[in-house]
Amino acid sequence: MLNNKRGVARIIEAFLATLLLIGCIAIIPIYSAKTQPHDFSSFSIETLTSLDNNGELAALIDAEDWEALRSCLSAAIPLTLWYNLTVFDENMNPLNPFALCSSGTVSDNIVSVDYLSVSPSSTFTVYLLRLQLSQVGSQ
Amino acid sequence: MMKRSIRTDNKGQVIVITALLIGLLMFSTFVYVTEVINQAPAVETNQNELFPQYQQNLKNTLISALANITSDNNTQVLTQDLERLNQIFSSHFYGSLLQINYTLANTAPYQDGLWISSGQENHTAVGAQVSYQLFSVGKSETSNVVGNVTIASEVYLSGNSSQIDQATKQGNLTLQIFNEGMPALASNFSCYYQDGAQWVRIENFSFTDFGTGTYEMVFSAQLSQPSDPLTVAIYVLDQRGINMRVQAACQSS
Repeated sequence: MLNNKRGVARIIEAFLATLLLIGCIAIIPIYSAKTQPHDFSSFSIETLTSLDNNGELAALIDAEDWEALRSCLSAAIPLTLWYNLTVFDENMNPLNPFALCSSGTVSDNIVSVDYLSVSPSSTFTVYLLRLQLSQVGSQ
Repeated sequence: MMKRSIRTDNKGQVIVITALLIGLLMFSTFVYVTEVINQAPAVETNQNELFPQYQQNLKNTLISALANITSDNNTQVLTQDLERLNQIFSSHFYGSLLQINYTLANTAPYQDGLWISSGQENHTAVGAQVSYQLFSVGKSETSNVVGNVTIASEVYLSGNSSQIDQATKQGNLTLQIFNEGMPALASNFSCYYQDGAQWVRIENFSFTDFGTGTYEMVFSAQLSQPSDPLTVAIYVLDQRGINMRVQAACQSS
């Protein structure tokens, strides 16, 4: 009778230990997986919105000054992040003649954000900017 | 002390090991399912990311329309551009259903969304004001944002004149430019003075740019009727491409 009770206690102990272990290990990856892409997407929009303040972004595209656009992005995006920007016109034709991206190895998890930019010049023109962001190096 | 028997004691251990194995199996299944869900590409539109983007583009649309109106005088451009912006926005964000309504301001000094007082004495304003309602229904959230955007370029001109000789007057002008009430810079000027019924372009003038949106000009004007007051008109192109014409009669000093 005493032996049986000790067995039950061990089973309960084992279950509790397993649950504790599972709980701890399970929470960490879920938390990091859920926050990272969302943060990237907010960061992308914030970066593009601030660069587009006073229509600077669209003005650079109007002038087809791709190098200046790349410089702006390189200054605004941290070195720990990889980026790739593609500029499309209203009919989704790509406008930049070469890739506007940073160097470095890219992780599997890439966040892509679309941003519409209206040119403040007297000709109403809409551009679609697709910015892809990823962590550098972490595979 | 009780004598332990392997036959009776190992029953509990087997159950413990089985429980651990089942737990590990459940855990690995859970991890696998979570990873598969995370790796699936997700399309979502975050409402908080949408509104600043719309606001910024609405601002750019108003600037574009004002630049167009002040060069072509076609006031229909404002409505056309706003319709196009809303159409593009509604069709592009497929992650959520968007309904965008806008209203052109009709409270003074705005009329049909526009405030154009170009060519006024001492002060000229060119502006646009639109209020909007953005209703968005997403997969996980519904939101309704109401706001308004105002773009206004203003220029103030004041000046005085002094008689240099019988037919020549010297004009001293001060020009101030504002964008939404804040000092702003101009990118181009053209200055004229009135001689009888004609406007004469001022080619040579000394010019001081204070870098704060304030400019000073000194020039000489040859008037056929020296007793006439010195009236000047300046065409200003601000850095946003909005044209303004401001006129002032210089006070004799």
